[in-house]
Amino acid sequence: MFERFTRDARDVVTRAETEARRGGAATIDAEHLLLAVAAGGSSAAASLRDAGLDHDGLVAAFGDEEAASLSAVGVDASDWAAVPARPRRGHLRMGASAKLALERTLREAVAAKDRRIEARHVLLGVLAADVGRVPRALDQAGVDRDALRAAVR
Amino acid sequence: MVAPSSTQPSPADGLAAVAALRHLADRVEDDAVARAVADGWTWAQVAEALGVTKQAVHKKHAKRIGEEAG
Repeated sequence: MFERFTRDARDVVTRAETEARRGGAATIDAEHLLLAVAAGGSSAAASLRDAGLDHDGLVAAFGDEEAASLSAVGVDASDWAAVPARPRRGHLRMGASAKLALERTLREAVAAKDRRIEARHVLLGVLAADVGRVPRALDQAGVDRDALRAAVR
Repeated sequence: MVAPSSTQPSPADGLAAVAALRHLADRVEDDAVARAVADGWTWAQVAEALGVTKQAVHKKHAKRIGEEAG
């Protein structure tokens, strides 16, 4: 599948692993793909910036989502803020949400009849999710996900 | 930790809470295991405190902690 990825799209996947590791994650998740798009120089990153979503803004949005989700069950995220992230060593595998996002990435490229898979398709694949951390974080941050998807297409 | 029914989270919020708790639990586990080992705990003791096998905890943490310590 990755042989059809453009350079920008491959950079997103590579950078997603860095994002995951830096956050102390055990797997590469859809949120890391989104952060990786935002951190790059592709037109997809520009679309995100146009929607007011730069890398740091997204990091904050994910932090806010986690805090809100924890508070629903009585856990105060600030009580645990001092626990440092401990980056895992070695190759990180794709988690379920990232695999779903990449399946949807492929579908986006096929639907657009594009032979090459661009960063834009990876972003659309991530944004296609209706449940999970990414849509929750974006909704909480006041992002119109449908409008964003239309703008990226 | 049973939520009173009057303030029970919606299914969506419940599921999101589980995902967030697992995320947090992973972070706390990684940190607590590293600090326990640094304090001289054996892998067997760490495993017993977590309620998992020594093999499981070693597989999950040994490589990372060995590299941090070395």
